Amino acid sequence: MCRRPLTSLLLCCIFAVLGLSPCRAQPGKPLGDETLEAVSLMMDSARAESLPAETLMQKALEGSTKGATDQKIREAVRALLNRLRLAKKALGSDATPPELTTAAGAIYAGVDTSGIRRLKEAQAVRKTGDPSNDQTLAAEFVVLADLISRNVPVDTASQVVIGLAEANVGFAEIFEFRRLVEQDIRSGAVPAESAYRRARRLAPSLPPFGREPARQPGDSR
Amino acid sequence: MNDIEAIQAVIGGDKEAFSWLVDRYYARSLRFAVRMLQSQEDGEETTQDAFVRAYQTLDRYEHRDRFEAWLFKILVNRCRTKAAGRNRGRWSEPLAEETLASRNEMADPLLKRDMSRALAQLVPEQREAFILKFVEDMTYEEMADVTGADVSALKMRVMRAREQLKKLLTREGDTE
Amino acid sequence: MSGNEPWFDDLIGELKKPVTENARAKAKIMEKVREMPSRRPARRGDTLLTFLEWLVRGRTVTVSPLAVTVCALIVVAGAIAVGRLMTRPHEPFPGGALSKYGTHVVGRDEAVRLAHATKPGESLVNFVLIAPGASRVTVIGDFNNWDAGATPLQQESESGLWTVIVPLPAGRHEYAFLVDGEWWLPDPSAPRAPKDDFDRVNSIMLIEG
Repeated sequence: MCRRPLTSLLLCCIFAVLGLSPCRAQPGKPLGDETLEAVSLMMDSARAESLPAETLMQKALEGSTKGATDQKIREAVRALLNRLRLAKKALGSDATPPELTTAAGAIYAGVDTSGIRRLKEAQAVRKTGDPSNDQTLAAEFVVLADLISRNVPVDTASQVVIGLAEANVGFAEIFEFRRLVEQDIRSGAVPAESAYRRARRLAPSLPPFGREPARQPGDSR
Repeated sequence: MNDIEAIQAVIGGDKEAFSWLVDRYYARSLRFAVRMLQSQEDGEETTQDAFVRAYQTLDRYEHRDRFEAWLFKILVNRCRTKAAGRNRGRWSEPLAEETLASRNEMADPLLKRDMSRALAQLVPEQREAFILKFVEDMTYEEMADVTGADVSALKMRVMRAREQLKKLLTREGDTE
Repeated sequence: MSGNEPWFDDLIGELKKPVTENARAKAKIMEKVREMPSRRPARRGDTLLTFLEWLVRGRTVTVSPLAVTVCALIVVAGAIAVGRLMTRPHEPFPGGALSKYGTHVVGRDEAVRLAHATKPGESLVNFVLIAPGASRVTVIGDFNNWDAGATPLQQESESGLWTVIVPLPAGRHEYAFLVDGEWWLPDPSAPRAPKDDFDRVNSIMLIEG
């Protein structure tokens, strides 16, 4: 990892640039009628399955604004619907819409359903205030997807966030944790290392970085 | 006289020529404003503002638009401002403002009560799109020009407005 | 759209009916128009005409080769500078320290001070972007149907601080900034969405209920 400091420095620069630099927007395209029909049907299915249908439409509009082809838009919406289904399967029928959409995001980032389930289980054990208002699980999924997008490996990110969840870390704290990890990465830290280091301050039971995390029964890998 | 001639006359200094344009487009503008804002008083005030603004900025009117579309652009913005002004402070357009029905404001007096209430349930941008499409008979391109939204978003708004109105105005709405 | 149904036809029929016109209200329009200062028919046109004539009239000009070279260099330098300005992406300051001051949910005290009422389940969000040199910034996301023009930010300071306050319902929101109608920029102070279906990165805002 840090064996060639120059390479990692260069890589860090590239990542930093990729992280910061905006990309040129193409002009938006209107949605075709067939696409609207297809999306509408998918929304009907979603509603029938108690999934948030609104997000499907928003995905279509997003694609339209970003100038994507109709086919790409339909594929994206279909893929999102499938991810929502997976999320619901992993989380159960009492999952809230934000939990479903954020879990779908984590799934898209590469987290498998067992990872999703582990986080749900950690939440069940947690003592919280008003469970109906508790968005901590959704926050964990958001932070998980974010860490992965910043090149923390999926397994590491999952391990870290599960550790935080089991340590009962709250909504605001977990976003602060994410912010600090991002800051470290921008300053050149190795993503996985920063994630572990910052998490251990909140969840001392996590192993230090570099030590192989203990395998839990039920892990698919 | 036609629109172009009237506009030229007004720009040339003939104020009274503007009344020709008012006569031509008042009824339609008022209808939109009243349906949109669901209040006769607000509708009249907003229509007046729009026409006055149109007069003031007539120099900027470029003949590639139909005058009516250009006027409607002003009118739509005025209606939005009026609606937003019902909330105080520095806002961006709220997505789902409090419905008039829930605030017991005077609903559209000429419209059947259930229709008026159903329209009041729509979020403003959906109501706006629905009225422009089906009452003003605009094409999506014209609507895009008038509202500043893109065609896809407009199609979506019209579709959702239609679905919601259907639910509210037919028996299907009862099986919630 | 599929064929029209009775409820629809009834509704449209009603909506299309003209609304009562109040002659008084209508007359107010011309009253206001008459109160306004009169337009002066274009006098400027004459000046413009004279200027154009002056431009077009041929005349002899003597220049030294040095003057020509210097002028040419200035023009080229100017073109490069303009080109740079137009293509340079508007980089915000690095997220790091400033992300504490980035996009955030408006706290209750501030909300009270701003005298905004929100509906239950809604929070005020202050979208913040530092973009010096930008002339137009909007935020686009699932809360405004990804409409590129719907939610413009206001420039608060010369240093390029852009903000807007938007009421948002609780839950997850995806969004990004659009700078000068051309540059797609995720929020440097916010978590990122996973890779995007459409090859552009979005940001995530999660609002507590």
